[in-house]
Amino acid sequence: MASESAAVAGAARQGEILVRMVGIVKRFPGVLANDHVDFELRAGEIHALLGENGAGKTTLMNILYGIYHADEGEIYVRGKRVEIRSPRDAMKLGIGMVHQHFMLVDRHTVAENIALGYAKSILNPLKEVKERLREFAEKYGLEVDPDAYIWQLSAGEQQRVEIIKALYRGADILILDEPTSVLTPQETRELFKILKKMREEGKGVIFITHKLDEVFQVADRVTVMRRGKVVGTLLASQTTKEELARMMVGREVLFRLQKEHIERGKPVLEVENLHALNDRGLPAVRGVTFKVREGEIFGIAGVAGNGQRELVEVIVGLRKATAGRVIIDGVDMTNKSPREIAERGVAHIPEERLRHGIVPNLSVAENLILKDYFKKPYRKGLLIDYSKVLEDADRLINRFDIITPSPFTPAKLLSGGNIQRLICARELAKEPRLIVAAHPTYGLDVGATEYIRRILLEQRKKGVAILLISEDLEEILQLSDRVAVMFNGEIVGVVRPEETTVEEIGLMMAGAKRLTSQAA
Amino acid sequence: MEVNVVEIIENIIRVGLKVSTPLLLASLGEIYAERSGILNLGVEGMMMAGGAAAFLTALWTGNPWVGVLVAMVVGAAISLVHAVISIHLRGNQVVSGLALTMFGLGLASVMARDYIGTPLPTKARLVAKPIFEGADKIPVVGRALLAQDPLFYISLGLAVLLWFVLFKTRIGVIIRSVGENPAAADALGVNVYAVRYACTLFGGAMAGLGGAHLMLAIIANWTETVLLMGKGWIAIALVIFALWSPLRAIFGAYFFGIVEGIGYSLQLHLGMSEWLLSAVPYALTILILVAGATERMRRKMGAPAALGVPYVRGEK
Amino acid sequence: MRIIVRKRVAPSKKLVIGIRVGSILLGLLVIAVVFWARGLNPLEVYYAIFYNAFVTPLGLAETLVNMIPLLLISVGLAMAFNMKFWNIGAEGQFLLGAMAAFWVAMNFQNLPKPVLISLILIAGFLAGAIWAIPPALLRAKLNVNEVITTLMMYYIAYYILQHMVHGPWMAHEEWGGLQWGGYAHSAIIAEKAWIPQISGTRICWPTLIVSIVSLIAVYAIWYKTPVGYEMRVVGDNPEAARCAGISYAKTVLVAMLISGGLAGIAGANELAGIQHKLLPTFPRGYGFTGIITAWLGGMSLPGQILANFFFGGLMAGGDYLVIIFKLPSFTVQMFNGALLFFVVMGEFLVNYRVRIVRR
Repeated sequence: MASESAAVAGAARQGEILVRMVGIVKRFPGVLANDHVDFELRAGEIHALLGENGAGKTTLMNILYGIYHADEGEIYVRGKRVEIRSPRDAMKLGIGMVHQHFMLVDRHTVAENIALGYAKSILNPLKEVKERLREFAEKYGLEVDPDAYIWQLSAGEQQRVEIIKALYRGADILILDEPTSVLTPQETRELFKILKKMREEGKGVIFITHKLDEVFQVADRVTVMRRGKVVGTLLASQTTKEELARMMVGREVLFRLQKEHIERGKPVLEVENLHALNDRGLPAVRGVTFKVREGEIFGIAGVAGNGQRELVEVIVGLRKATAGRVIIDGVDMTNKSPREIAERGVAHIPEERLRHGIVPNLSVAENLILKDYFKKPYRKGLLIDYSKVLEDADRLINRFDIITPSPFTPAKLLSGGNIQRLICARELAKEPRLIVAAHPTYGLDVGATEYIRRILLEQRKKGVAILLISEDLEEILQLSDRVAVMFNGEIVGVVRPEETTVEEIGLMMAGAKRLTSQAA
Repeated sequence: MEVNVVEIIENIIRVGLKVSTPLLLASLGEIYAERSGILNLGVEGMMMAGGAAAFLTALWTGNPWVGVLVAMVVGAAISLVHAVISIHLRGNQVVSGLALTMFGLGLASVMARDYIGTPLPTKARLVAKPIFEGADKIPVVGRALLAQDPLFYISLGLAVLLWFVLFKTRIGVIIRSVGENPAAADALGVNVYAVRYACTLFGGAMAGLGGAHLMLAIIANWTETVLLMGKGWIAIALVIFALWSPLRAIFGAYFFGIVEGIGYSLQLHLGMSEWLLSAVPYALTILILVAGATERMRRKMGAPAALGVPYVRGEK
Repeated sequence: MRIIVRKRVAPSKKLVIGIRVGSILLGLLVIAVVFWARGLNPLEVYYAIFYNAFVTPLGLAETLVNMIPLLLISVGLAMAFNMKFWNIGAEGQFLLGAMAAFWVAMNFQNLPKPVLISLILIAGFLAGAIWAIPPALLRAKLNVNEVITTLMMYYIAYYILQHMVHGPWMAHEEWGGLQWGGYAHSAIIAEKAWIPQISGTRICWPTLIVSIVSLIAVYAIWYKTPVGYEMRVVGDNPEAARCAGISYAKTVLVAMLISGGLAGIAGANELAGIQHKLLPTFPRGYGFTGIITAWLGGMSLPGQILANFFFGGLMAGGDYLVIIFKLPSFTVQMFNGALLFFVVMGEFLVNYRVRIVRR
């Protein structure tokens, strides 16, 4: 595996500038993703690229890796001006990338995925791959079974495969895009150990994140981006959490939301010993029991992939439960159709708003009736009464501040935040008893995020029961009255945010701790 | 009427295996195309255009193998249009494939129009020959397995070879990865477009090859009804039934062929309606698709994940 | 020099029409080259087509004769295509409609004419609709590829037709010992069952009325009813439809019943109004040409009318070509295929903006 980059990397001195990006500009339809960005990476450093969702960090790194082309600007690798037209070019230069959404072929084995990139022989290079894997395990602590199928691996293990893939090709510049978003706190610590080892070897690591704490745990330098521009580059040792937050957001950030104390009422949602399978037929929900009461926000924390998605789908009727019950307002609604469940007063803010939440080419007004079109008042005999539809649409657009040129605008033209408002309008207009909100602020800018959180708190005040799933631990801790942690399809603990620590939750998320008594 | 059961069975197998060969060839090609993510519904058009080309070339040159070669070139050339539309132009692969079929059929018709009713002389055909002296005297199996035309044996060998390449070599891993997760392959420097072009053109060449066998070994005559046979569609169904594996394609194709062979026998010996018997393969196709679907659901296997979806680097 | 390709967010209607028309023109150009290569003067050929299809009153009438079944089939297909349900077996549904019409015409000759004709058209609708159900169900319940199943149903229908025409329905007394073109044929249905035509032409006015009414009904359903709403949602985002509790099976079934039924009416009309008997060469290819016009016109009414008028004329002119220039009947297929290619290629320009940038 002697690529020239490996040889050069071997001779790289500490502090040499590995990558320099100057004046990068990248436009997408409707948005300026990178606005004259400068960025620099030295050998033997871990450089964090910090910013909120949509700040332009991933775009910048995708340009460095050859997935996008910059509209303007220059890239220098080890002092030489280069054109990176494809990932192949990037890899030849010794640049490797671990993406946020893993680029792995689920149905193939680890060995096949690694061999996809590089192998000397034309036959299935199982032997060769196994050899190298042993090397990597020793050197960096990256252990993984070459014959395992990707879909059998945990997120942490899959990530290891991704890292190995990059190293296998002799990368000495490693880009990681939000690597900890799928890891437990313990796995994160493991990852950081691996990265620090790489730093000692003289490699350069670029670490994209939106989590402030990580910057201080592992980075040497940090570059903050906001809305496509670089706000500043600092030494991690010379800054504070508050300063970085301010740079990220552009104003003072409140780390605590105001939440009033609300008297909780009777249970609206009761889940009893629920079991369900995932798409592969393996158990995903394994005996989950909990209650959500009126006026309560019940948060479910946990690393994605531990059964949260399947749990939500069973509750709203999109997946069959194999055992157990879902009771809504005292009525057994297990395995009823989505429509029946919605008619019982269950609102659902889906995880992927574009894929599951709206009908992109239909107008805003038509999207608003998605759950009600078959009922009065919209349905008159055999037809749909569109005058009433428009009337209500105008009202909802006002009430929920949906910014749209008109009710006839196709929903796909709305911004992410407004799409979420559209979905909220549709779901909340009918005064639900239970709101199931899955990752409701994912990918939204600060303003939209605050709006959604405000709405949830408002509904809570009105006595609505809210089930909140989120990967954002901070969000869950701030909004929820009680927090449950899901691990491997079970609830391993239910706590009150004020009575627990991030450490304890982290242990539960990793399955290392289980509480015997649950906060009621 | 004397009914020699052994002879009937022998005939069924012999004819069955013979008519399976075009199906096998075409579906092998389509398996590769679909494994790389490209849905090519134009198999029927490429097959018949290739068949017409093979027929005409063999007629003019007197050599069937030149015809075979030309058929493969024609098949690949026509599939190039579909490839460009599907890969670079990100077009709707279903509609483009349909257009390909219509065009291919039309092209075949126009090319061979002047030769309707002209049979191929024996030297221009792919003739069945025993592979060694006396092979055809072996009861039952002799004429059926050991005395077929050369392409039959080539198709069998190809199927095994293609299976090996697809599952046991790195090239196969690349092709399958491109069809499952092109973004992953791309991120590792695989040229997704090139792989897809190669597989689609290969599929076109194989379809042409299948058409060549159809015309040079089976029919050896040109009529307008030739264009109504729809073998290409059955080949596409076979790909699904074979769960995109060349080995299973062998069984699927032979199963199909044997059923057709039984049909001929029934017609020949029992005088059943030739028309209704002709409809059987098509009904059978639907049934095997249903069987395949339920089995897929049971085994939770399915099409290559990115089948029919154009790949654009970096597009969300 | 670099080629920059950017996705268009909202292509304007004018752009879409412009590109579609441009694609057709480009396709015609390429086909002209093919004609030229085969020794024909393309200008002569095109002039012949267009003059005889659109200029002469008789030609115009023939264009309309083609347009009626095309429009029926095309609109039904557009509905199905919009839901990504590729019904390419419309020709089979057409044949079933024709055979059902024949059966009714032969067995109910005692009914008064208006009743008989109505029954014929209704039978056509039902037969076509029923023939469309199996592929719809198989796709909805078992996710079986409908491209193949609908097409297989066509082949089965085709061979059933052959069987009936050469067998049970074959007519043994001919008109003075004549057989049509050397083929077997069925009995000619009683004059009472012939759908009346506008005098001097072959345009069947009852079917014309039925077509217009059907069109209005289809569009009303599509835009104004809950079922139509469901079909539009399913077609645009099946995942969201599922979350909303919309049943894919139900919507696909309704769409196919309509699509198959309309094709069936077209078949019944062809039998009772135009050919008056069943032949081995009965199928006219409307089911396949309809695929192109469905794709071209989409769910836009003016689009459908224009596309089917144009292709109806192309077919009328094409018939002329077969006779005068001695081109094989599959030539039309080649036409269709090539034009469809160009339309699909044009779609790329509709969805993406291409710019050539000089460095």
